[in-house]
Amino acid sequence: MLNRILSGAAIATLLATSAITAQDTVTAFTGAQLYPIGSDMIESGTLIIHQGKIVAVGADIEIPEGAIAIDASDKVIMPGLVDTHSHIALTGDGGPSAVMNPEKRIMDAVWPADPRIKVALTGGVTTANIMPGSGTLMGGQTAYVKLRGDSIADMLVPNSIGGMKMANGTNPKRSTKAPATRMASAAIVRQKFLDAQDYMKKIDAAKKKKKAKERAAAMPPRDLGMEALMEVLNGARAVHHHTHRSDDIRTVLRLKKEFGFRLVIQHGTESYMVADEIAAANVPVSLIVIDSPGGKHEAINLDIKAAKILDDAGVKLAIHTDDGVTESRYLLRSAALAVRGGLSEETALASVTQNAADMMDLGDRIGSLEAGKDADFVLLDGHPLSVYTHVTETWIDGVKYYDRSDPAQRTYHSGGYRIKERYIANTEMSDSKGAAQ
Amino acid sequence: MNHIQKILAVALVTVLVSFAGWAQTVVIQAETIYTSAEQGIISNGVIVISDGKITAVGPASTTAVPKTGRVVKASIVTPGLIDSHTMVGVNGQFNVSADQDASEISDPMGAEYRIMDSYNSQEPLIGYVRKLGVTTMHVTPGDNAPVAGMSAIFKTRMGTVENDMLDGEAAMIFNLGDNPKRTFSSKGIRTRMGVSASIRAALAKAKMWGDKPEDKRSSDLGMTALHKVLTGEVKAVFNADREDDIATALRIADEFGFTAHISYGTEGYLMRDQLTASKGTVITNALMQRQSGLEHQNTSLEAPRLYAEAGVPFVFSTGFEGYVPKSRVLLWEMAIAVANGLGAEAAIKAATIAPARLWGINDQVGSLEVGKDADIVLFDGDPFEYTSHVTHVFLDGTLVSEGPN
Repeated sequence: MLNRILSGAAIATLLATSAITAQDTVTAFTGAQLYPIGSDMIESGTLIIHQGKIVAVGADIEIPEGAIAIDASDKVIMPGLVDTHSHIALTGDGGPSAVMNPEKRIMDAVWPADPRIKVALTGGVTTANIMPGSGTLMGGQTAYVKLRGDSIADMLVPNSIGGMKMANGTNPKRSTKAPATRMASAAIVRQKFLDAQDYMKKIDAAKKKKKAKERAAAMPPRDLGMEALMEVLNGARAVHHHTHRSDDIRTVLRLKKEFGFRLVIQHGTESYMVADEIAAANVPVSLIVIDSPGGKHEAINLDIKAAKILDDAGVKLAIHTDDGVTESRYLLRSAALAVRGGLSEETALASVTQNAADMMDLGDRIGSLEAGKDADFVLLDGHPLSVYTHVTETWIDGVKYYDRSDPAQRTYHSGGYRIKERYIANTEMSDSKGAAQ
Repeated sequence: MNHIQKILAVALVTVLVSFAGWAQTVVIQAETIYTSAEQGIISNGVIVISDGKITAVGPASTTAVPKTGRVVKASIVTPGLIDSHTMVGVNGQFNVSADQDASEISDPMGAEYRIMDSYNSQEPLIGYVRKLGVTTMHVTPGDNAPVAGMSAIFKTRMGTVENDMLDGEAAMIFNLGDNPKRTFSSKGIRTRMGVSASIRAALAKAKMWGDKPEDKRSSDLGMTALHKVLTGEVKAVFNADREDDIATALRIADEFGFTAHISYGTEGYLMRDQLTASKGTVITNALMQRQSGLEHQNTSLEAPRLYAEAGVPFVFSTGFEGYVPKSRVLLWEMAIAVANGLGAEAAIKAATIAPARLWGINDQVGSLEVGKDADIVLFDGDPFEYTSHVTHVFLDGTLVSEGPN
């Protein structure tokens, strides 16, 4: 028994040490085709990381002495993917209970041990905006997380506070507690924001009192929901608004105009119909791309050309999975389908990296391969938008969290991870690709 | 209308008809043609379509083509795709009770139901899957009732039910696993053994019914339909995901002396030997199906490759989707299989000639051969690449969709 504990502790120490070593040592990936995002593709270049950060990227980079050089000449390297709309690791805890839930935090519902986080890593996703569901008008506070760590504290992106999830249209009308109409939906939301403005005024007025006692007396009672809405009103917290139909999108733009919050349109199935209005309002769209129209009334006008139309209109574009509507591991596939609909490859790749990071106010930290940014990146065995390409490695903060060459890890991509040993014994692993001529 | 006017009218009609006939001659020129037939893969090939049928197919260098007729060029050409299990046409895109007609849940024993009576040949989703290459579909009742009813084969013509239907009695659909026991728990079926017993009881009853002389049999729609499974006139398809449910299907089929074809078959790749021995065909579920629920958690993108390597007969399908997307895209499910090791030609065969043989319609569809229906899909690149497009879909020689899609 003692032996077991000792060896367990030894292994834990060893693992911790190797992670630290990985970060402390300078590592250089050489000869890779690099998609830095925001600058031109580099046919053969070097990526150097140190202590969890990118220290250099380019075609002619000198490898520092003592660095570990990794030959990546048969690989493509791009930034870790950023999913602006995910419900991963929630396992049924995404649907809050009241009509308006600004005080609820999704971080309190995240299950870090969810194996689907590992599934997401096999698709190259390194950062996600985990959100409450769309069953209520205001679902609660979202969490910007990296897909690693044993606790939500480890997962949260440092210094980020997340966004505010809102929804209109069909979904919030469905629940028994919900409004029956779109006009009621809008009225409830407007009243809430007016209440928040009043709450803010009271606090401002209280702060102006000269004496501490007077200040305390004038302060309104603490209200968790109002505090979060103040962050929305003062711009610290962006609203991520689920909305599909063009009239619902217009309603959201109207609310934004009235209350001045920062907004990301989420899903935006019919956003291509009002692309010019969205562009004029300078609002970005995080678009859902799925395989067929329908499933509900407000999704029947889904169009594979939507991404192109938005991009042409000058709308800043991200593409998301809405995991589990689409599984996280198919995020690059969603971007590729947008290219099928006419979107440029350049915007498609930005839409799941830099643009997505920007919509989560993380654009200075992640989203591209640039010196100073977090060492979140993905190695692939082919063009990022090809069906035949697999992610071979996924790194976050300079640590490798997925390696396809390990059969056990690979089962998180192929399927079979819940029965790993049987799967590996029963199936002959193959890397053949059956590409058509 | 006087005599001369009548003659003129007839003459005009004659001219129009012959003009239409001329317009129906199409020559397809392609860099690569996957024939799903003896000719295999043809490089620099041509296909001639006339009056709805294929009249020539072969290398451009050796195949005579008519001087008239429309010429259409493509990078790659395949036969029209066959989806071997879908609810498109019976479960509409709005996904409200008004347009959902696949799953009858009033009766766990629904052998008398015919999917043709639910099929809406004008459902827009049919047009959607058609523009991505599907020209024939095996449309089934839903996956709720232990005995769910009779499926049918349709072409995606979007005409009328009678006009579009190739076979109104394709298969009897049986359901195992989580869905039937959840759906019928209020009717006393709460366990897998309960579901199995209810199916066995129905088959036993049909056997007794059939053992009577024909003139002594009661006029019973359900028994009449179920008895056709026992005589082999109608195929038996069991929707089953988990290994043990697949085993139950094989056990029931063995007991009553028929062949079970497994649809969904999520964990079938773990029991390839048993499936090969069963002589049935696996109708694979959409590989990108959500892994929600316990039954789907072991979905493998490598399953089609494993079937192909083990010699398990399999065909592609899109299965059932209850939310968004309302249907999977057959072509893209094939693509994921190819990206995970299945050969391209094997994938195309598993969505063309293999299902055509399974459904007994291979004299009419499923390959690019002279005399067959001109159901043809044209691509501007690798059919499986996300960023390639379907450029044209011909159905019975008519251009029903022009891309890029």
